[in-house]
Amino acid sequence: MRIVIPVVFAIVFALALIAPISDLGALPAIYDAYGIGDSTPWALLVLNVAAPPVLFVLGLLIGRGRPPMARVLVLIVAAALAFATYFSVFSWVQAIQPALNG
Amino acid sequence: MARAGDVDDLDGDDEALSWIGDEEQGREAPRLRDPAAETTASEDAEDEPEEAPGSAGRRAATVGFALPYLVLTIGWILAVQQLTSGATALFAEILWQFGEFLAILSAPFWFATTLSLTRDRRPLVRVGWLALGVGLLVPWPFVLSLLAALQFAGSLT
Repeated sequence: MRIVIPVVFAIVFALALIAPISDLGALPAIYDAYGIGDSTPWALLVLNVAAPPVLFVLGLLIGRGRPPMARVLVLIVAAALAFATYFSVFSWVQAIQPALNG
Repeated sequence: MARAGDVDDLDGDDEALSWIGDEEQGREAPRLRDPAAETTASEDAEDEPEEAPGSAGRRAATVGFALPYLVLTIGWILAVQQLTSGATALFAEILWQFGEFLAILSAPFWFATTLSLTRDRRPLVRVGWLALGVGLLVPWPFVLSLLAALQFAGSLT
């Protein structure tokens, strides 16, 4: 049980990483193609990639020494926050995107 | 045949339930407890339940933050309506929906988890965690679209 909870949530957090990594790989190329490569929001893209692992580690640290149910609760909240952060940053990227020239 | 007065004769019981040497062992009181006195004591305890120190502050913090968290939850429900994945692959779409589901649950889960984990902590700790949640869980997709709509409406007038 001690190792099962972190492993299961590691998968959930890995799923939360797929979209940010995909954005980090694809968005700069799209910005370049439209001639707005200088406006690539690198900080937001990197923040999106960094958030899930950081939240996973924080969830493990906060849940350390607690009963299994409390650890699961903390990690669910951390995973939910990871996805909420992704959507928030995603909407900021769209909001600050300059007009396309392509 | 026993009379009714015999049953309730506690003085007689006291004598019957006392043994020689009880006084030396600190057992001066009768071993049979007085049920009437016990009932009164338990009623007194129910009338005035003991409150842990700071529980009033904790309760006030809980009630005070309930409304903001409700607003955050509604905000995320509205926010996910405006998000589109743009994905054509089924797995990406399922993942997106799963993320939206968790984003909607983020505020109520944060609230419930904070209440659960700060039950025995100082009120300030609970307030701190609840305030942090309010700051982190702002439904930006909804807020930004609302601001854009207001800006658009302002440009029309």
